[in-house]
Amino acid sequence: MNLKQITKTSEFFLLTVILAIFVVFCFVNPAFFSLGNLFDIAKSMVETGILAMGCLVVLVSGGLDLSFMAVAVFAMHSVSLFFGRNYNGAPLPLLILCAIVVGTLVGLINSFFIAKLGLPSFIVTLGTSNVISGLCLAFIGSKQYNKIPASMLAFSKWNIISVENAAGGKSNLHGSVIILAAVIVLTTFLLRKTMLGRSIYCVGGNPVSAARVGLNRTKILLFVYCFMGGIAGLVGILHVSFQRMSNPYDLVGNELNVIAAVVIGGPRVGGGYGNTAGTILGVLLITMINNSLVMLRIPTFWQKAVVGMIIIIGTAAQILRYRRSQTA
Amino acid sequence: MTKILYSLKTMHLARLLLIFLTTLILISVLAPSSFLTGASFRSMAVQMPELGFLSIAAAMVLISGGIDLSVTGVAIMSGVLAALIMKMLGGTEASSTVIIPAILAALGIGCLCGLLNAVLVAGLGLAPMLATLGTSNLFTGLGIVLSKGSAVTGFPSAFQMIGNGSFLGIPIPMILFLLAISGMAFILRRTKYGFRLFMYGTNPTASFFSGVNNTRVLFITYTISGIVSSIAGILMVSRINTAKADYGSSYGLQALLIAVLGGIDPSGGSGRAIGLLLSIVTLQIISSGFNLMHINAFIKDLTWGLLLLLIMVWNYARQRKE
Repeated sequence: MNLKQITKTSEFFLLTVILAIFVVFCFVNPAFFSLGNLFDIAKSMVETGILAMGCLVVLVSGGLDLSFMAVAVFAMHSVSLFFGRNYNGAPLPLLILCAIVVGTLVGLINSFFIAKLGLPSFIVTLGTSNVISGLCLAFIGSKQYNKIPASMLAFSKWNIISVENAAGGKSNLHGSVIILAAVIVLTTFLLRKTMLGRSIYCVGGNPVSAARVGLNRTKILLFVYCFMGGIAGLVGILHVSFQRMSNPYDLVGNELNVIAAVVIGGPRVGGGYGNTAGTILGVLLITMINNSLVMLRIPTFWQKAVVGMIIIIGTAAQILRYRRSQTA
Repeated sequence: MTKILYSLKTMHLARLLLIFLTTLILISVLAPSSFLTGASFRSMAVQMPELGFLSIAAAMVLISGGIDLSVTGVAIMSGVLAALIMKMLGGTEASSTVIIPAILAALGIGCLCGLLNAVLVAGLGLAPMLATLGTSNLFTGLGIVLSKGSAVTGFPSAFQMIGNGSFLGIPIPMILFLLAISGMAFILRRTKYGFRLFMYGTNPTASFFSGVNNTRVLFITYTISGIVSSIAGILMVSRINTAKADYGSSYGLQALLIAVLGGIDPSGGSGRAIGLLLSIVTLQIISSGFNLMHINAFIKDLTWGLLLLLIMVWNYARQRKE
């Protein structure tokens, strides 16, 4: 790809918008351009960013998952309660592994209905999200739990970079950004370099030709919803350690905010489009705006309205650019 | 072909009716002393309409093959607006005539919200899901901005009557809801617009080439959805005598669940008002019944989800057989 082609991509457009907003913010409040603030934005991106990778894969496959927050809470609450009560000294990798396994298994429920029976993903996940969060609240626990394993608490204080700032305090970059980076790299590799990843695009973009070239739609979709489940499980554990307790009422209800961040980054509803670069830029844009309204002295109750406007303008701009490129 | 499709749809209705009767009988048998009472039916009739109006709004757009995620946003914003207007004109002490401008403003803003959705979807060609996801945030956000994030309370008693009063023993919200659902049935089955909506929902290209003004159909659909959602907002504010921007935010996906369970095909082109009514009554019986039997409230969510999956798999199994 030469320079001219790059400037025409929607990712480049999004990047320009982000930089423009960034510059404006820096002029309004110079504190915005501080290491501390950038570190904060990076940490705030972790949960949405990781979930966005899962959502991206689902969107590319032509589906839509509304149940991932319920899955995340299910994995989060069951793993924290189980280990908190029985094995408080469990190391973090074990907790993460367990949560990913639980998430993947719960994701299998979606896979069964969507991949095996071929029911529409939107309705299935609308149903399973009710079922999964109902199961979690009714049988696992409906109360906040704060005797979480010690390794989670230790993780919440794990800063990989710690820099003294002008005010004398410390600006810390939290270690969880490594996990975010790892998930991004993994998803990029999956979608770009593996046969499975390319098949997901094919199944999402044109199911008929996918079937003609002999792709097994059932197996591919089976993987997609399990992947989303595993990602959700991982985020569940991160969420517990950020909050230092497991609250089963967290997360659920914010599905659409994550999906919004993903769709700003380019994938079209209907499948076959989208990449990790665009997605992470979408997440960055939303997070940056959410985090900085306070610094710009805009009352926080404007937050939701502003995010709404960004989604509308962002998607409308994509459409108009697409149309112009079609007519030109 | 059309005959087969038609029978499939009525099959969905038949299954739904079976589910409805099963739950009704089950709950009546399990909790006869508390469920089969005037009080419990009355409380159901008060709780149902808010979600009912939202599901009508969601269903209309689903029939067009689109999706409206902004129904709760519209309800919240119009509820807050009505509340603020009444507050400004005197609050609790105000004469009952101030409810007229308040209600008109709420309906008007609902209409405008619907028009904005229509402009984005029909005018600019945005995917309905993305457009309404954006406007949902925008409307809810504006509701928060208008109320500055806090609760607005204290309205004239005439306004509280809408949500809490009754006429001939039937709660007013229920009367309004029954009127609305009959209106929906009439529009869908008996008007040109209804016919065109089904045509558009089934195949937009075909409806375009048969001379249907697709843009117009979409504008009417999203505007109806907006106005109906704002009625839900008015009812909610009136019943609890408070407007707060985060009330009922979980209703959006529930409204979609009700619509789909009621046999409204989310890929567009089919659905009936009677299915919607059956679906919402069934879910309300489940949630009230569980409540009376002191069953954990979370089992209710679980059952709602299971019912949706059940009827989907049931339809699927029958379709495979045929």
